[in-house]
Amino acid sequence: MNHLPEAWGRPRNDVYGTYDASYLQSSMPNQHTQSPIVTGTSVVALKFNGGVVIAADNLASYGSLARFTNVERLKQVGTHTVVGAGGDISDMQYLHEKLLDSLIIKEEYQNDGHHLRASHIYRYLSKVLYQRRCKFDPLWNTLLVAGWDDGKPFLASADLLGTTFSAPALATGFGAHLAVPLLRRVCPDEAAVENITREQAVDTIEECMKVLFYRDARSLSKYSLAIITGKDVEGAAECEAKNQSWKFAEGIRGYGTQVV
Amino acid sequence: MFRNNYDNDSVTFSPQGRIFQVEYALEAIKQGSVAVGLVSKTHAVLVALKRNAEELGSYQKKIIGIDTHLGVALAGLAPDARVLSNFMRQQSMSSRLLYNRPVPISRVVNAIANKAQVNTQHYGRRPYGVGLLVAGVDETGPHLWEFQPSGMVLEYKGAAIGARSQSARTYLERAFEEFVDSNREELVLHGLKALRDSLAQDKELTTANTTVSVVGIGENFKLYDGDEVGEWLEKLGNVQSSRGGRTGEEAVESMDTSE
Amino acid sequence: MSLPFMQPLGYDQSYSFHTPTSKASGGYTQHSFNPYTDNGGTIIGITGEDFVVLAGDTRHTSGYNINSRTEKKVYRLGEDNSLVLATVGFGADSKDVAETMMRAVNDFKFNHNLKNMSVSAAAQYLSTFLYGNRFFPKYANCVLAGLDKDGRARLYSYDSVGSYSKQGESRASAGSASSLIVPFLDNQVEFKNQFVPSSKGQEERPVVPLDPVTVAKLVKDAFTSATERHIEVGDGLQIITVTKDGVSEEVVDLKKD
Repeated sequence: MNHLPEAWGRPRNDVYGTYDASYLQSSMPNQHTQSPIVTGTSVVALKFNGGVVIAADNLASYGSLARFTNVERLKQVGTHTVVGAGGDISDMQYLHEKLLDSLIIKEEYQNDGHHLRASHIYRYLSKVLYQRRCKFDPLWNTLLVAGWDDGKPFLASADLLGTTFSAPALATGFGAHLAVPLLRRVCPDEAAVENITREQAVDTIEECMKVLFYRDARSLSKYSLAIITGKDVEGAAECEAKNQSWKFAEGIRGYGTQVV
Repeated sequence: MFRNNYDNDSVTFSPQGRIFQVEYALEAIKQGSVAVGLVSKTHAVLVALKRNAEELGSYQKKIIGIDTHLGVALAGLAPDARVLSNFMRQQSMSSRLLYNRPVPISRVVNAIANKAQVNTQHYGRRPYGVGLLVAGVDETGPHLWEFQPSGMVLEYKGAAIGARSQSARTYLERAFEEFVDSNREELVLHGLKALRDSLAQDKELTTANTTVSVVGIGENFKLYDGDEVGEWLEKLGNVQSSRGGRTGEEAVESMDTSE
Repeated sequence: MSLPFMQPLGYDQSYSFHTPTSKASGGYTQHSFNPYTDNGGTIIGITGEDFVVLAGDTRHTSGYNINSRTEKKVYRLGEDNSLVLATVGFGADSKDVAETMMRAVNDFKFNHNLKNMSVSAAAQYLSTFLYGNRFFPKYANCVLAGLDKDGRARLYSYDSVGSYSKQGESRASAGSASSLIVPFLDNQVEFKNQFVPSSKGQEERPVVPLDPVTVAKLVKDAFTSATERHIEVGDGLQIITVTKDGVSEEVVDLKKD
């Protein structure tokens, strides 16, 4: 058997034709990311009186293929911050596991009573994303940073271009179209945050995750949810979209097992 | 004749385990005029005595603002202090831009300490010839740090550096119990009293030779120089060393006539 | 190598900008990264004799989406000076320009014995900075204002590569609805096409500096009108007024539809 990599999975040239190994040549210039490869879809988050709820499903898609169904897209950073990422999964993993981990390790090694909070981490990430876009080598993500900062809930967004903004209810990707209207119904402005209870916020986010699962083809019913309060971060992995109703599908051809 | 063979550079220990170049650098601090720093639970204060090299010359700069939450007082080579304070400003600005956070005082102090230490371990380099008192407020409250050319930094409740600073330290040690709980105004006056005690017998605090700065929780770094110091000297009253002397108003008046 | 799947939504759907997707000769679709987007919004600036007003709406958009209703576009360049800067266009570049200016003004202060940067110096610095990025422009349209050493109002406006008029201007507008607002300001601030009533259209109405109350009205009228006619303008209106007594900020509501 031929063990050269160009022969992997292609045992017979006479059947399949010669393998196109042109991409293995390294004479080509380095390519920067021009489009994301394995992607995560929406992240949704909502402030409430005393904290923030944030959620993202556990799917990593390869195009339209549901490639990995157990990917964690929420990451706790420090004691009172959660960073949720949509977009390219490998870029997300670089951000989460290389940049943010070492950022927190360096901060905590100082052991001087100072800790990075949500707004600090958000500024850092925004700068990283903007610098990378200026190098024409973007990290292909949209991030939501949720946390408890200076006695108040904190929620803000940053994307691959370095665009930054903040609002009491945010959602990335498909969620910007489907979830934001649901969230804004509960929380139209910053003043409304005061009247939103934790339970209400969680219910609203759960509803959003359900709607997104219904209507976003690159989404999953399994998702992670985190609640950040002044006390701590409570994480709930392996949430399942509740109270689903697919009744409408009964009369539609193409859903489920069709007899005729 | 005796000649010290171990003070040509800062990388050679003497047989007694000393590095003379570093010790000489510490001496440079004592050539500078006195600077005093002290902290309460809410404020950090720096006061310093300025010298003019010549009768017709201007007075030196003793306190340098670094950022809105942070400043330094110096004793020793002023150019070295300028280089260090420019570096601290860079650190402070980077912290604001990259993390949206005023730089923690201990971090910026450690940053200059590391710079200073490098100079004590490389052939052909000269240790900084300046001591600094760094006063500032961060999330953990008001702080006062002392920086030395050896690279040593220590946090203090009250500290004094420069010529005749022992008298100021003696005052601070005695007044400590009082000033830790004092308010803004009382803290500045304690600082001025410490400064006053380190004056030479025939000298007094004037608006020309005294400089004051205050920073507090929720209050930006404020530098009082020239005429602005007048109000503090008036509140202080006696502007001569505790051996007795004239009141603040008289001193201000005598200033006017003499210049 | 191209991969035949779509980009996730949210990156390329921009209303006034769109990601170029070209068909190369081989029939492959080539995607390229577009480093710019337009986040909408509008700013205006009007001077009086000894005061100046800068204002901008607080809506932040991506395409047809409203990202936030509370993103401010007008920045003070320091706490103890009269300098204000409004930037509009691509949000990330706009904030970078504003931050660069804040840093420059702060550095100037520390390097010049705590003296504040003059408004004309800040104006020249901003031009130099923008032109320094001539070959990868900051997609930010700026209006800079402040009081000069005599207390007179100064206002400068820039294109994205830094061209500006050293004389300054009496009024300026930039951003998505500027084409709606500029003719309004021409008429109401410069009195363009206004004539002395008795002259039968022969004598132009003399231009006089406006008072603060009139300017405040003009600003609000300009934005309520722009909100009606432009989808990227609305939500809130941030107004910063610079006078010799200091700098004040006000945020009023605009329609949120």
